[in-house]
Amino acid sequence: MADVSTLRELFGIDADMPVPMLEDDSDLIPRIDENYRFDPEVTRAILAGFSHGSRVLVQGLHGTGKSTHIEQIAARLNWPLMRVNLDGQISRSDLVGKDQVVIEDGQPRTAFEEGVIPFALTRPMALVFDEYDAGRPEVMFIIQRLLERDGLFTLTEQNRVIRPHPHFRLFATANTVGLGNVNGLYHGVNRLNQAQLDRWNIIASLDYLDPAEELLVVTGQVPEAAAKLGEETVATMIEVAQLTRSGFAAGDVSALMSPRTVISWAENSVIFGDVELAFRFSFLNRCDSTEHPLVAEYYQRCFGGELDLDHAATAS
Amino acid sequence: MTDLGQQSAIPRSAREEHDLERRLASVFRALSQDADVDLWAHRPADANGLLPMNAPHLYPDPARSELPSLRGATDAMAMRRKWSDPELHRQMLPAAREERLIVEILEQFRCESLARQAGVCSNLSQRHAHWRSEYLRSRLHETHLGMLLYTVILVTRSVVNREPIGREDSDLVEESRFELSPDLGPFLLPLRNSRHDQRAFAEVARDLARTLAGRIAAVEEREGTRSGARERHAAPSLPLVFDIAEDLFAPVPEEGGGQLHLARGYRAWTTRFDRESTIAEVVRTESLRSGRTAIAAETARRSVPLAPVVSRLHGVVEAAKEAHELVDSEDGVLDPSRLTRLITSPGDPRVFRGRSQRAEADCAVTFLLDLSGSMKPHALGLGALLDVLVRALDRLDVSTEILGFTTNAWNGGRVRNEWKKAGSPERPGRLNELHHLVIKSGASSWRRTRTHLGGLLKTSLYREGIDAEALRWAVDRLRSQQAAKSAVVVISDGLPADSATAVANGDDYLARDLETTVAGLRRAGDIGILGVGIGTDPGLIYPTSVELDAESLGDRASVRAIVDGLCTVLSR
Repeated sequence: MADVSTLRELFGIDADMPVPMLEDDSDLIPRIDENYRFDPEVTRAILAGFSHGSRVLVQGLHGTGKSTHIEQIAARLNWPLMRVNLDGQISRSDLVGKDQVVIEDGQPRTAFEEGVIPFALTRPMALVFDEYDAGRPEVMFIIQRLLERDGLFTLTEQNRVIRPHPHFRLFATANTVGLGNVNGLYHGVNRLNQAQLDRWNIIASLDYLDPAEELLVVTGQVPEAAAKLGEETVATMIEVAQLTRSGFAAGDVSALMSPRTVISWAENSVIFGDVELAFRFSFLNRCDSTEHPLVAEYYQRCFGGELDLDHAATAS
Repeated sequence: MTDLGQQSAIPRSAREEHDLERRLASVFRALSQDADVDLWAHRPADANGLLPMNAPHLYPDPARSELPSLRGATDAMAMRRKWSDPELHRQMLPAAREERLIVEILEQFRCESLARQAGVCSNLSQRHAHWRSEYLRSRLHETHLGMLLYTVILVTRSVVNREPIGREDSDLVEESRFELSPDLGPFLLPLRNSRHDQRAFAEVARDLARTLAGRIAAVEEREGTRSGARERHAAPSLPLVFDIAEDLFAPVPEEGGGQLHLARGYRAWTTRFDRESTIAEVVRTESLRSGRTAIAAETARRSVPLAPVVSRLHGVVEAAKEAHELVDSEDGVLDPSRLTRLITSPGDPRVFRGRSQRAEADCAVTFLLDLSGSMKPHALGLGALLDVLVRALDRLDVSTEILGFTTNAWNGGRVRNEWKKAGSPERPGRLNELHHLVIKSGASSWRRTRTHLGGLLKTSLYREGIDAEALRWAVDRLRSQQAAKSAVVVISDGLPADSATAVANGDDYLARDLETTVAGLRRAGDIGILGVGIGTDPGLIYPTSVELDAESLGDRASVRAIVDGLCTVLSR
């Protein structure tokens, strides 16, 4: 551990909590995004994870910036970080490792190649499991072993016990907390059992930024937008995004505008000089065509004018 | 600009009307940030039934209103839902009817004044302008009382909303405004200033209402039209809620229409007599066999080739399997057919066959059959159709269920008798004994259960049709199979029908429940739904639907239409 800074210095959060920093120059340290806005509560929860080794699960809807939040904190703490997405594709062997067939001296033989967990466990590293609630049961069992109090990890494949590095940290992000599929929003999401949840020391909830904050983020990222379009317009764009978010939460639309989408909409608006055209490129074309009339209604509610759907073939 | 805004001049078809209402309901949910609200016949509802929102401008006639007006009404409801706590509102409502009306309207204006989005504000203004012109056209303002109410509405809205009154209206209400100013004046500024605080606002509104009620009573007394005036208010073209239903705290029954009697969502009077049986339990083996023979003969007569059906379905089903089959895997069991790889490309580790993480089934399809009386003539064709479809799906290892729904009795049976004995209380909910039939379950093989299809010809089973509960039952069974992809195909020849339920709850009680159920399933999104209508268009209820001609049941075109529909709902 190199030096200790405080919450106020690093994150502009009004508190004197000390935060640890590493001296590391690994390529796995994320890059700092100067415009990232930290949520005070979630930041403190994640920092508790970094400084005390608490295991933190960050929960929130799609596009709230859960992983980015952890990433940006790691960037400022100089902490290497790896993200592993637990969606349906990842398997036990990806995590633990597997025997590989290799050719040595012209002879094939098998050799064990370690997976993500043994790799991260033995290094000063933050391991983030994204979409934790989509993990398949056999994957969850492995993580469960990792979550045991002492943190020792047994590699049954090799009869080896791995002791975690003192600066190894574990985080997870999830769309739902243990409720499984809340109103059918997330496919392939499994109920986290209580035993799983109990092993996380801190569960933090991240909601979307409030509109004023989001406005600062967007105008911070795209300064030309405020100049060319006016803050009023950017604020209206964020209103449209909010409607798509509540529409998504109600299951009425299958895509939503995350803060990232709003940023690219603002960028495209500057490039094309046309907010409506940019909206089509940045969001509308991503939606199912049957949903276009509804998205047009959202648009009308915020901008007052009609969205021209003649460009897009509507199926209604 | 699209023609969305102008299309209302053209009368909308039933389908367009329906789509528009669904769209507005979605906007209602998004603006109010409440996933539970919905519109039933353009009236606000949530899971518990209709929401009491009693302001006169909320209910434009959907058939004759321009789009901005309908949008404005929906937006107004959304603002009310978002900014008003119904519990607090209920506590603050005064007892007297006229006072209640005024407090209701003021609370609605308060919520509308909190709207931020430019488009919403403009829709609200347009709706209000439209309401004003309707009011004047219906000449309600020609009575002293009508004029007085009109003035109160205009003045309070303009103060709460900071929207000036237009020139024409200003001239029109000048006199009564002057007359009212001592009564209204002291309340206007407090109203405006307390609009962010529901309780404080309601207190001011109550005081204002009490003051006005005295004046209204005096006017009514003078005009001697205590009931007559209200009869005129109930002009059918204008659903003015100037006559607040006495049972405001219960849902508001629609006057004259008797359409929406839903008190607390959908319910059944009793489920004690409902039963679920397998077809083999209710049809004798000989009948099953003879029915099966007849269906087989019909299938042979239609002679639909199986291969194209299988190959059309194959792509969709395979996509579901791929999620589970892991060939060319990097771990698992050595795959002898891949060993040559070791020699040809030594660095390539993909020589294993993965332990596939198979769900119980990759793909499951349930056919849910309406076995109500009107379906009797279609039994044979339906049997032939299913014969082909299930055989094709069976070849692809798709788990299939064939379920049917009917009732044990006509006219409500024992359930209705019990309800009668209980004194026939209002809105009893579903009044019949459900009979759910399992013709083929997912666990049984087609080979062993194909004779069961013969049970379809046992027409004495066909009685009444209560679709939504059957659909929920079918979906629960489907979900328990945990297939990677599932779809339910509902085959019916019309809307749900049960005479006893309709008489006691209104004609569209069951249809509403079906709409709500389908919308909910669609929102959940884990199961595809295909509606198949025999001689009817199921598109009003089912987002993905196929209409079949009764004559063509079981022929090539009908099989193909259903297969295409299945492909659509499975590939989502």
